[in-house]
Amino acid sequence: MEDSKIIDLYWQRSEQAISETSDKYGMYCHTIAYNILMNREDSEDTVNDTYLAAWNSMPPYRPSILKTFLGKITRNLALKRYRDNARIKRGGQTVTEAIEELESLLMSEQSTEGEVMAKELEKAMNRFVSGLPDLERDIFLRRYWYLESIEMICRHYEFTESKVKSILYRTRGKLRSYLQKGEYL
Amino acid sequence: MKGITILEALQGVDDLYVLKAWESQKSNDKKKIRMTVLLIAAIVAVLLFGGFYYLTQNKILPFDAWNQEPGSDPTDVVKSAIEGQMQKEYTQGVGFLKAIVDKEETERLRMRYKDSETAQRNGWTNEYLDEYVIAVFAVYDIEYDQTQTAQISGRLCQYFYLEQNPKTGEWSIWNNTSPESFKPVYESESDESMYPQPEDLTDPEYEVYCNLMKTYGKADSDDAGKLTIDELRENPEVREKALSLLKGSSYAAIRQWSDEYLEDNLVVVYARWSVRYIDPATVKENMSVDEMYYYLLRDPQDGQWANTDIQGSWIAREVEGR
Repeated sequence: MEDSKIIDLYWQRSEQAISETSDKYGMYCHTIAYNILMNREDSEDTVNDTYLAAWNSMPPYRPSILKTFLGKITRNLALKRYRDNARIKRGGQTVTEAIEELESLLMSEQSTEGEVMAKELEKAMNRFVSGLPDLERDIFLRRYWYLESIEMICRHYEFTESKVKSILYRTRGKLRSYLQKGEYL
Repeated sequence: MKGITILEALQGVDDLYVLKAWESQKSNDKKKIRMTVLLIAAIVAVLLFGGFYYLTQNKILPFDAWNQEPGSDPTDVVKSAIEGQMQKEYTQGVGFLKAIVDKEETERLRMRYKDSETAQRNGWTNEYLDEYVIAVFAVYDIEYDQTQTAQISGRLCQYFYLEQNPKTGEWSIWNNTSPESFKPVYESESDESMYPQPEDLTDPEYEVYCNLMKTYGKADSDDAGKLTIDELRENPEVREKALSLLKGSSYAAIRQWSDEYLEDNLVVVYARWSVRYIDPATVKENMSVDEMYYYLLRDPQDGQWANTDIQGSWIAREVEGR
């Protein structure tokens, strides 16, 4: 079913909206959740929460791209659940590694957290991502947006591990200087 | 700042980038197939129609260099290249309107090429890119004979990438293709005079014009809206109010804006524009009307205007079916 028709179903408050969403984007949302949580049960719960959030948002909202609209909700909910799980010491290894990679570029810097509003940082990150060359941007987002493991990225692009790691290392370096320049660090 | 803060900040990345990253492998495959098909088509065309001469004469292959006059002012070089289009037999008319060095795009350009394979191939160090490469954003009217070329006619805004020769100091366009072109749309030809014309705009007004064009005026995208800029002008009254709020404030102090600097370099521009677009959900044409005050500051070193991080007040937003 076309996305516009699925959105119409939400607007008509038809429960078929959920089953159509699940058929078309269930696997996509599940992959995002599983990359973060590494736990089947938690991932399924997160995907169900995504459908509920979508149901509550439409109407009044009409997403222009349904797929990424759902993906963003899933990612948000999964990260929130990851935080909660971390408090009781269970969470996905990949997301922990991804966070450590990003923290390693920040560790030596003086933190200005609190001075920078989250929205401003979001905008800055979008500007940074938009300035990256295509392949670099895709790999960066696969690692830090979709939270894919290095191994999975290597398989996807048929690249060696060292190539993917070196691309990510270079991009993190650019991110560090970009954030420093914008005084976010 | 913690790593997870950055992960969460990535939530705001444009949907299109997120989607493209997910589908990148597939599109790479598609690209390969498309390239193979194009290659075969090109070979067949060469065999059928007499080869390279035909292809270049008919602008099928992109070997159509700008006729430019390198010089010390990059905007003049771009002007010469645009006006040089008249020397081509498929151009029926050209009107250069305005060009400006685009700081934001220059930054993006440098970042894109730093440590890249292209830079290595061309022998560009990061320092070289910082010093000798810039982007210029130009707007011009052009009319092509569409029986001879597929290039877009009309009012176009376009990026040009230039490189400076360190020995002679002369700038020249090095990237012969423009990554994007942008196009405002007017209700009809006769209405055009009612709308702000780029050549009549002050530099800060023109900066806002370029911003709007880049955001809404993409010419070659199927799902792009149709932009009409209805009004664009500096607003001294709002500027005065902004000055009284900013002078001596901690907001200005953090950014190291002295009162004198603000007095000499702050400009407020009012813009009103409308975008018509097809709502994918209802397949109806909608129109949004937006108004905004932009707060711009001039860099005293290079004289260039740039939008500030002062959040422009969004005055009205109206969406209606048509």
